[in-house]
Amino acid sequence: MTKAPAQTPPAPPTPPANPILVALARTFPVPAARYAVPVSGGGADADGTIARIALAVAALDPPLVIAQRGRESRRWRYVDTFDGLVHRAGGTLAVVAPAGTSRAKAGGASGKSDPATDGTAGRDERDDAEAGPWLMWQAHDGRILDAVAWPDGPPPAFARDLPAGAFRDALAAITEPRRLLPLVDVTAAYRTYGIVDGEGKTVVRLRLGAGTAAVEASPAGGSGRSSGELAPWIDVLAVRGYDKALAAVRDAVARLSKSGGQGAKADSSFVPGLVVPALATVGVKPGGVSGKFDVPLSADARADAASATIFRALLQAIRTSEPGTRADVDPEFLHDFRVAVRRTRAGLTLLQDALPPAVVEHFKAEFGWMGAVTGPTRDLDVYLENMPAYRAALPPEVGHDLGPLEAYLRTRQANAHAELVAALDSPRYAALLADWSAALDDIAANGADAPAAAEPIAELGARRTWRRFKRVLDDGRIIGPDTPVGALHQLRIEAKKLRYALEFFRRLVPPAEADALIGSLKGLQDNLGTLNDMGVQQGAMRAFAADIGRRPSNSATLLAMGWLTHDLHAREHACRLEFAARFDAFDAKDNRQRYERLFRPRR
Amino acid sequence: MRIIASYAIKGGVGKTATAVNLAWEAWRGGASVLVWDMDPQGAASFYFRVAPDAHGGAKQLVKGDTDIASLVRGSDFDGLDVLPADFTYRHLDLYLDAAKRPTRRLVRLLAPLAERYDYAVLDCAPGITLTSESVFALADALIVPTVPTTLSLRTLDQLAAHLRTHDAGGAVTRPFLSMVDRRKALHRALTDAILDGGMPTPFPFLRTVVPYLSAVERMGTQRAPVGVFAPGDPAAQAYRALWGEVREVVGGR
Repeated sequence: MTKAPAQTPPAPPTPPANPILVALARTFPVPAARYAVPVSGGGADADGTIARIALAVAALDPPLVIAQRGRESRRWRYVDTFDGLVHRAGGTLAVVAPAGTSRAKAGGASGKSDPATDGTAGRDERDDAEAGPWLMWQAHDGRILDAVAWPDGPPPAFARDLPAGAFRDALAAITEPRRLLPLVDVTAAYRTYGIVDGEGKTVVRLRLGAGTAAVEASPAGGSGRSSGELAPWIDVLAVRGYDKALAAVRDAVARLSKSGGQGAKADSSFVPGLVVPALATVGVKPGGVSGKFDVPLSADARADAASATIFRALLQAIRTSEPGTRADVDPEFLHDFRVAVRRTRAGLTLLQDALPPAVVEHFKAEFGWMGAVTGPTRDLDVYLENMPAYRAALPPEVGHDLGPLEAYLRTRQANAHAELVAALDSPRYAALLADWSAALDDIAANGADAPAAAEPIAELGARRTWRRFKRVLDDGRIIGPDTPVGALHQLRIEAKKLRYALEFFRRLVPPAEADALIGSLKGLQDNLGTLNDMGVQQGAMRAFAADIGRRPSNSATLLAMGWLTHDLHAREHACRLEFAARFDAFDAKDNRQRYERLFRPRR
Repeated sequence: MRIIASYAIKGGVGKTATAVNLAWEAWRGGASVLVWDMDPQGAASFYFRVAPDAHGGAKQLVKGDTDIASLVRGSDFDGLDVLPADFTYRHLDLYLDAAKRPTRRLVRLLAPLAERYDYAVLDCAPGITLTSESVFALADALIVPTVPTTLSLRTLDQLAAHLRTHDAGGAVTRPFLSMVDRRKALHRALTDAILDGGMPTPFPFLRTVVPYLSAVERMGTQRAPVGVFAPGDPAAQAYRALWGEVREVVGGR
């Protein structure tokens, strides 16, 4: 008898499995293929379809039989950030709840003659947390990335609202500090069928689905509720090891289906979830809105007409972010609103040679006012968004003392936001948008009476960009270790103006060049921006302290704020030390040559 | 992957029922499970309604010519798969004998599946053979259904003697009392003696007693684990309790 010479190394302990995840992977198997249900007359002919599939599989060799297994309905409430961060990261996030489930119970009235030949029947006896509802994070390919039990009420407003754990951390890395907004609601009814061989063994499963999609009035714009029917579908689900039967059933279903079908293997764009068809049904784009500024321009367009195009895109961005700014559901709406306002102001300066002087003067003042009335809320938003980072910078017990500061900031933010909404409600704001729109129409239609109005936009753009580049270079080069910090703040403003110029005219240079230009400038801007923020925040802490210190019980908070101010100062100092390297990277030879090649006036 | 072997030297002691019901209980608890039907009679495959398949065979499998993953069949329970009997037919011993280092051959064979499953439950053929020796080397736990009769208990001593003289591979061996009929005086007496420690045994017994019940026999007509068609039956409850103990022994999920 042979002796076993050596042992298998002991198996590593199985990592603790999330039982919900295991159950959900079985409840929501990834289909091998999806087909549209043939539609006859006004509605989906599901019964007719099943009857035809039954005939088709009965004719196979060996013949197969179709048996209904269960029915269930679920409601999916999809959420995402306004800019679709979850979607872009390759997934969907939804609260999934049963909506009137009635599955055949094994051993029950209907199951007596059917000894649970299907997993769905056996699962009824499972005593895990399978009933739901859950918050479920699903990849576009159908895999369940993570899930957690979640009450069938409102979905989480932020990733941080999830229970502590890997799910929260992974989602927060993608979405924080953005708010999770309702994206689309789907109610779907499923009927499952087993296709059974001569042994009574299920060899393929089918799942028929039908449902409706609805979007609520979104705080991000739009009003009312729109809804629509989803086109009914059939998912074909594989049972491991029964590939031949799977292929035969797929063939049969494909012949009956109007569509060629989508398969996980054949079609990489196949998204087995419901969110893509649901969003198409209600006419919403899955990726959310992008904050990236990218206006198509043709190089030889008149400067005045091209300016009108740029400003019109910015005006659209202002209008798009306005409802969310009013509703204050996510600070990012106000941020986008302000970015569009600031870009408009910067554009008025940058393109002033191509615009009527009276228009430039009037709207610079008006958009300046818009910047001023939105500033306080934005500043407070930033401090509130920074609170977790502030706490993290301090020892835990000290961080805890910042509570009164946060409460104080919230009150002030609410007041500031109320004033902001009042400004948006004012006739002045309404007139600003209406007049600006009319002025742009006029310029586009009739041209502008200005010195550079007829110059090709590429030339004007190059000239302005070059000048701004030279100014950043000149101002930056004289900054040494002992230069007062004011010079760095001035440089930050110049760098920002250069950035606007690059963004306005990005379509006038090859895309790779535009990315390189913006990338090299961004490194410098990040450094200058942080440097500025740290300084501004130290000043703000001193101002807040004057208010918070009025209450004697807040002495611990003041102490914590002092600690925090010191930390901000240390980080400011670190930025200052880093500046030289960042500027040198911007002032590198290849970067200078790129600007020269693209923008230097040829005379 | 933890490997659990339902094994007994003696036949007809409830070995296949143990493998099938333990596997199903593990699956019900959320684990992914592979049942390897190593008994040429193919009863475990039959209970899971997996038809015999003409392809492949023990020879190719042991030689490594067949990808073991391609032989796996999904059961009606999503996440509980079956490696059907015909692949490990009665010739498995002969082929293992012809292979180099036969006891490690099975270890290598299962390796590609180790990632996919939390547990593999082996339904072994009775007797001490080259196949069962390979199983001793492979398994994390040997679960031995033992009917409380003199003959059945004697085979435990034989097993203990064999494991002492051969490399048992570190498998934890745990018998439990199976097919216990309390109407029989001998069953009653031996069961009590074993459980209260009055009778010395070569291995510590699990505490769960699986009675002799008709529900277990009905598995043959229902072709499903007892928990599926008779979840409230004492048999289903006994296997549930048994799985709780086995899980403690073997670890994992």
